[in-house]
Amino acid sequence: MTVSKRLQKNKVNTQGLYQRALKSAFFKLNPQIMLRNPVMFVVWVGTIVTALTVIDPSLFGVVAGDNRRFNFLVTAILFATLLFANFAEAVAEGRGKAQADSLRATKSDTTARKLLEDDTIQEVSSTTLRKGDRIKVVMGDTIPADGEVIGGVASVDESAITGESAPVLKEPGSDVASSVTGGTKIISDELILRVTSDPGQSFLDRMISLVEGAERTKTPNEIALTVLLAVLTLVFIIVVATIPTIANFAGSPVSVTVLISLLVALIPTTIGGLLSAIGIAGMDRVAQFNVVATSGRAVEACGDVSTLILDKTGTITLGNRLAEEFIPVNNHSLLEIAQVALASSIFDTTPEGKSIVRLAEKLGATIDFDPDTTEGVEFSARTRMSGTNLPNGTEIRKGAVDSIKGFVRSRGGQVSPELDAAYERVSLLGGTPLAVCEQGELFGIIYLKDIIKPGIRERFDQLRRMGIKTIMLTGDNRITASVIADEAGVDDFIAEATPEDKIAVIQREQAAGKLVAMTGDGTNDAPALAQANVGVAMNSGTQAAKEAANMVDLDSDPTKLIDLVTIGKQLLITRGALTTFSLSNDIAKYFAIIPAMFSAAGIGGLNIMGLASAQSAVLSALIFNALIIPALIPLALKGVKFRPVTANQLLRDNILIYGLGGVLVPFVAIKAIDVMVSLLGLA
Amino acid sequence: MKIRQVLADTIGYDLLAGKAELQEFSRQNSKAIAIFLLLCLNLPLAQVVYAGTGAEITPKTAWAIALLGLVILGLCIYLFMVILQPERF
Repeated sequence: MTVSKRLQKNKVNTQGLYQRALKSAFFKLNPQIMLRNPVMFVVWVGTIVTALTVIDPSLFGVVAGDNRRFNFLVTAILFATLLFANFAEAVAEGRGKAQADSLRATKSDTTARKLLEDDTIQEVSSTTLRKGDRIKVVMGDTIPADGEVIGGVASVDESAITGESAPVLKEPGSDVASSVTGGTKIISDELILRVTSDPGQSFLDRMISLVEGAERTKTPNEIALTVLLAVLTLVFIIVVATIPTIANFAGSPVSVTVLISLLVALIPTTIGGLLSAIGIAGMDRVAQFNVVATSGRAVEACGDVSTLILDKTGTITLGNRLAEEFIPVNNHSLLEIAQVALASSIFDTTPEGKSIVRLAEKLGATIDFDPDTTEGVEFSARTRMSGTNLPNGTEIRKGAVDSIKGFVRSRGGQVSPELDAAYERVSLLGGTPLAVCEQGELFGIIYLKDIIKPGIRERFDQLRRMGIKTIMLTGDNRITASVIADEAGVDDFIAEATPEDKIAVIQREQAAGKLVAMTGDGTNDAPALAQANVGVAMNSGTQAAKEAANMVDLDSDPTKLIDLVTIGKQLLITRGALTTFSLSNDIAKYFAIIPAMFSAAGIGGLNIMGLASAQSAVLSALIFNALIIPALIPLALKGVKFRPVTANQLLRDNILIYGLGGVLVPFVAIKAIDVMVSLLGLA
Repeated sequence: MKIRQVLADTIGYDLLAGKAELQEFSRQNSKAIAIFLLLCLNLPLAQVVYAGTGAEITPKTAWAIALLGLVILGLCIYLFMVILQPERF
């Protein structure tokens, strides 16, 4: 599904959003809420002080030109500034809540078939299910909770979560297809599931709380910016507090109302008012791309990622490798290798194992032993083999060619060059070769075919243009890895990688000062996902991978990182751009208010905008200061457009637009407002 | 101490931890602190200059200005808390 179609599909109902936001803007005037925003809190205090001067204009002394009407207008404009800032945050929150409501609509309290200890079924409400419970879901059921498939095979419609209506096969024992999400629907057959989350803790619930912003905490970048804004505000307060005595000495006394106006005009109210809206809108954009993020910190980190490490199977490839062909060696027949392959895979519950069994049975292979008296040997990342131990002591194995060679030699067997030729043939096709043997006798190679996900190459090209290096890690041999890496278009690859190798690569890149993102879906990816700065697990992956990662991609698209990097960079760039704009605005405000304040001291010549009077100059600057906040709300919510260009080019462009623009725009705007103020006779 | 207890109970602020943070902050940013203190020197100097202008103020105005001064002081303390412990806000 294309991004535009997905965003359109996820379009939420924003009817009544602005009315609710306006109402919420008034509620946010509560001082306990205002305290969280230092810049706007200072404006809040200033508004109360100027309101007092409306009641008693001579409260802080009598100054020529000061009157109740002027004080009232200043108070009204400051109050509007507060409301606009609160409105911006409320609109962002409202959009998030609307998105959360549309997600909540996909949730429903359903009846679940809980499997008791004795395997009898008890019908219970889905809200009573707990982590570890076993449930049975059949065709037509809505899956009542997030779970891991432990039995059965079924097709699941995940469109409620991903928007994609093509059903997905779910079966146990697979890294790719063993987990299900609550709210999705069984289309065929049935599954036995183990519930993996308590009520309120499912992925859908986490996505809802993320977009609602209920548990949102400030990210490191936001905290740093808040400190900067607090420092600037403090400096300006001290400067403004010392002006009255100097003004008195210069024979140009200034009223408290004008001083507060100067203070509010100087402190960065634009970015102060829009900062939280930018952060909330960023999180909502992440959710619109069907990614569940555990924190804003991870999203911000995406913006600075320089290396992406990807697993091969299930991430770059479709992951459901199927047995395509048996290649016998050592003069064995096709039937003989099929027999041994079947025997080695009888206990293998993975899709690969099942496909080997199907192919072997298709070729007429049968087993001549009783599985109940036979021991199955599970696959491990260390041995890279699995198989069967027969009651008579015969060991049958299948696995990585090097591992099987070592096994054969240890059992006194020989390795023929035929095996290497077959292995190379399969590898050059991009397939995974598994060698199969019985004791010290090699029987041949099983060719497992894997398919690269469509469109991957173009997405990796895009990552490269963004300056992100891609590294593919796989347990496969070098030749297969090289063929797949070349076909997919990754920058580098590491073959025959163990789980420790994955962590070592990430640590090596991190030690070189790089931010590393890792995409994976298997349980063996979990430690690496936890180690990486940004860990993105596929929704189709195992629960362990999803728990270890700090993001889950519900579309299971390994190149979703492109969108996450864009959103992360957009967040950082938007904050930087609006901060630059906010601080640049000050220059024009100096030229508006300072000459007006000290006109008697003879610096009226600095009134380069030709503003009508001292009072109109102050009012115009304040009105501009207030109106610029709602004017920039759309930009704050949408984010500054990110283009994949170099950092220097980006900096140059944004300084020109927001820096120079921030200097020039207020001159024009304040003059225009001054003309309007004079025409309306407000000053 | 009582003040520490009151601050901890009412606004959850640990005075000792705050003091340690302030000392660490001052040590790391001594030049910036020096410039800031020079800026603050404006405030007492300003009062001397103001007294020299001979302007007359009523008791009501004096009280109002004093209260405003306290409000400004409160704002400065609040902003210092934001700078030193921004994660609380």
